[in-house]
Amino acid sequence: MSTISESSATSKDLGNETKWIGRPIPRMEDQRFLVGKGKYVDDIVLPNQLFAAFVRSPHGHARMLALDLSRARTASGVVAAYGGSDIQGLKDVPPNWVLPGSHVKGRPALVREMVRHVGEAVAVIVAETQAEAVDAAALVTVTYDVLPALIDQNLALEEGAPRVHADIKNNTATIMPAGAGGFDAAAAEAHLNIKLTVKNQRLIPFPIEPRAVNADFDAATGRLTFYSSNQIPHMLRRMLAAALEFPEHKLRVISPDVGGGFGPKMHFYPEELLLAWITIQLGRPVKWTETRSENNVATTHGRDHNMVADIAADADGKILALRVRGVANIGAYLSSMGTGVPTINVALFLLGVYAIPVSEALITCVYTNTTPVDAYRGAGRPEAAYLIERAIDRVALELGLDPADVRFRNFIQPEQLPYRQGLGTKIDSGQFSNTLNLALEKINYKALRKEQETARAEGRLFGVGISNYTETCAMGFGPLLGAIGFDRGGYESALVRVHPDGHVSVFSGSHSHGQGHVTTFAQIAADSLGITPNEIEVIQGDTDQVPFGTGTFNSRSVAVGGSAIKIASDRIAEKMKKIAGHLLQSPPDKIVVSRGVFGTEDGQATIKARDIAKAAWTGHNIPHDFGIGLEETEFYHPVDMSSPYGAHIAVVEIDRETGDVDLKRYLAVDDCGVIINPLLARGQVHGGLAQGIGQALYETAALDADGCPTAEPSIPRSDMLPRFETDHTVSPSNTNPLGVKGIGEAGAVGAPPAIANAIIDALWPLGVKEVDMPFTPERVLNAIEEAVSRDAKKVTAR
Amino acid sequence: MIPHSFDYMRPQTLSDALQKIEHLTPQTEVAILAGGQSLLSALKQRRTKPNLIVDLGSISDLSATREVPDGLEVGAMVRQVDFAGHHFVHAHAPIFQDVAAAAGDPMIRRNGTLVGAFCEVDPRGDWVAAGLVQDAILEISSLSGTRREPLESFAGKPRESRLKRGELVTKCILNAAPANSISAYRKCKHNAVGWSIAGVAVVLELDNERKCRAIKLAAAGATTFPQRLRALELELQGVDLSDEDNLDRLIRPHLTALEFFGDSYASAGYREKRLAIQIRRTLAELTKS
Repeated sequence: MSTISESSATSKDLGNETKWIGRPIPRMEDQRFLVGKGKYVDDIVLPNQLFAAFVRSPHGHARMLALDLSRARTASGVVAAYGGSDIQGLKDVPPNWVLPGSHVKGRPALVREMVRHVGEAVAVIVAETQAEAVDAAALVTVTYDVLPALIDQNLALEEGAPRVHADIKNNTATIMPAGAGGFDAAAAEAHLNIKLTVKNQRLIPFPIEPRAVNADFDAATGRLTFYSSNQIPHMLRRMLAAALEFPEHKLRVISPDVGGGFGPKMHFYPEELLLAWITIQLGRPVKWTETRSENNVATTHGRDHNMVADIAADADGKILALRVRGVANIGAYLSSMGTGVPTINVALFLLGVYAIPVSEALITCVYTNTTPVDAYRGAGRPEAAYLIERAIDRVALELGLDPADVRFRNFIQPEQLPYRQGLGTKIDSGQFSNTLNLALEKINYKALRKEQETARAEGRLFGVGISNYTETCAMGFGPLLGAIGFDRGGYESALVRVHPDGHVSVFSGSHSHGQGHVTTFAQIAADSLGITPNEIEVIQGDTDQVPFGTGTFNSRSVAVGGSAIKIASDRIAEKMKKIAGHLLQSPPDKIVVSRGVFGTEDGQATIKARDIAKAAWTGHNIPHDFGIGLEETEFYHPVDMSSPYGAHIAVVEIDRETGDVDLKRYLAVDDCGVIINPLLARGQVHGGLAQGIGQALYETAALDADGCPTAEPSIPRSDMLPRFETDHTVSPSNTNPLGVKGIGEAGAVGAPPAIANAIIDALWPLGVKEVDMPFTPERVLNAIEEAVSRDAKKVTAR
Repeated sequence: MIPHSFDYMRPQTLSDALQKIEHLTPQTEVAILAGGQSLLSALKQRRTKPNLIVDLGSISDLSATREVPDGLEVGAMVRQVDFAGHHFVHAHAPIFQDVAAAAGDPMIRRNGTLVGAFCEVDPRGDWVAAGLVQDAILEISSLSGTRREPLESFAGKPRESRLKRGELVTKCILNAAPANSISAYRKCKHNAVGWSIAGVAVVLELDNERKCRAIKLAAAGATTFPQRLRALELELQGVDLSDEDNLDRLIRPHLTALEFFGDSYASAGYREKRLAIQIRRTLAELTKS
């Protein structure tokens, strides 16, 4: 049943043996992981190693009346213990995406007086062994005056609600309007007006490797070496240096193998600041590895965004106007992208891949007594896609139209591309009708609708859901980021070095946290240099080795980091041709490269790459003005971003009696432009789908009244997922030299609306119009029972 | 994830173990380590902080299974996977094969013991419900002697009064299911942890008209402790179990008196509904098969 096929473009490339881009080669980095030889922060033990353990608040909102560290300080093996009053002068951890005009509250390294979320650290113990640190932490006594916790963002906005921070009115960090307005006028003329309420629940990101830090200050050299499981080593270095007022050139951040990130590992955290400060105080290395329970409450959460949409449409299902009001929970403090993800990353993308003439949005970011909320796979785009894709289906169902037809009617047309959306984003390329048609054909949509008719006649609940998500990836243009308060660059670095023996090192400012950069980056460099990927080593995650980089997030690594590698490698290839031309006495533009051999077009004279490299590094037999060496650095700085998109289709059957949702089929047809490695791209689709399906069917932080998440959060396992059916179309992006777009987040963006639409499609005949994620059996059953009892009341009333 | 510090003993014989736990100071809180599948995570999360852990792993007698007339004795250290693969289970207690397919995962079943699961009486667990419909009996030893107690009465007591000080559950005795009986264990999994939110264990005998001649039925996952539903068993005698509408009417009233628990995934109310459906569907499935 399942088909996993490559597009014609990549199939053709597979036949060309000298080209590596487009080939599904297995991940070169996997060997060491499979034999247990990966190296993570927790594997690093330094001489004189100390260990830290944190004491955390069990309350969401409390005043700390007393903190007694005396028993801990005298416990066996304890070297130091600190509370908030012991670290006076240490700054709060600042966010680094602050929408202009926001009211900023950074994360304190330790609670000073007020506790504002469950899991906030009130003290840290440093001891000779991890066990001693943990034992001593248990001896700390804290006296709290427990206060009511504010958990729900809509309640936090209400008149008279208590304040999370005394000096912030209405608990509001920022309000962002978008669009040109005009909804009311457009709606007045419309055939259909609908109000739609949707919620993106709070999620716990759950990387398999929790956070881990090992901070090592060497007083003799004045250097601080800082190991952290992190997606953006250079940004961590810059923020850590600024917070500590530490000279940046003496601070080295190393992020070795990273066991999953999904967004939360790109932020600067209180524990990091504190451990760096402690190692400087003590002159010994200090290590902390987060426990799973700590990860649940101290590492940032994702989503938690409530939205209400007004939709105006004509009788054919063409959407005339859309207005969205969003209220986002950002937690107790601003984590790094706290104000940016729910505003820019949502509002700009609310119109999806549709041409909707009138649009407006207003998004409010609200402080609550909960763990800070920040980027999580998709980071705002899932919320946007969920809203618009639910809206399209709702219009179709209200009008009795086919949801696929309504999509065709609303798509941006090819001649309109590139297309500037009314709410801000620019869609660079795409073939939306073709991609949806391919998906409909592959899943045999017509037959599914027939099957649905039969099922309904038998009283079974069978539904089909489509989503045509889009997201904008590959950040981005520096000045634009500056204008929206995003304190990061939009470029990526690459340093490519051909060694005298012809082997190649590629240093990238991107940093894999599981994606497989080592393989894809080697494929890109191999094509430029005419060698094989296994002659190339890719090095990432060490600020002393790698030029200043921007890091891995926003599905940007291949589009920006890969482009930097291509440009640097191409420049080296040019120089190698120049040297080859000199040595072979042929014009450089007549030199061809194949499998590490440079030669004249007629094949009469050849020279190996390693001989060129040796010539370049010795300078023995090349003109002086060629310069020495084969090494290039590129900081690739794109002007525009790219817009991957896709057509996903979910098929469900619901047990009317239990509410169980059986996800019978899931098809993902994605378009991420040119594909470097189809195997890895598909791996990204699978991982994204697991998390997207997880959000739809299983996952929730399920905060209690204190803001404490469930101790047993649900994460999807392979036996909880269907076999994925995948395919793709290729619409090359013109925003980068590779023609690529991102794929890392696609599944997480596309899956929730596809599944939600399928479920509502199944339940629509019963009168169910809205259900919120996660679609657990109980929630679905409640929706069914409410609809049925409403219906019964109507009958009685007649 | 580091436990509180504790003393650790690994006695070589049962009498050694009994001596150790008999002569403890009243302040000593002791934990018995068999398969460790509940204890180790409780220790790591510091949900339990015993002063002493007595590891039964070296007492070879406890790892034995022994066939007795119409039954099987299973030592306290017999792992779930070994028990489930025993020919007695295959021939006379096949319901435990259903449980083994549904409980935990291969690693848990490799380490976990049957008797340990019986002693733990976790309301969400799977093994106890099957033990109840197989009339499992626990053998409990102390220096002053040995006594036997049905699993049903053991599971129904509050945790702290199940064992007296100095007592150790050393084995369980399982009876063969009646010849010509059919059985099943069916559960609805909690999506986070794989425990049951509604589980049903049934041993059923049908008469010539395929009506219920005798039935043993136990619930797990939904109620605050695993238990036989004896009043329902009585009511189902002589009933055509394939008539699901009738079954539904019979089952629901019997559940209203039970105490259910819930969490953010499945509330107590939902578990009650789900248990009723699970019982009805399991009985219909067995009758129609």
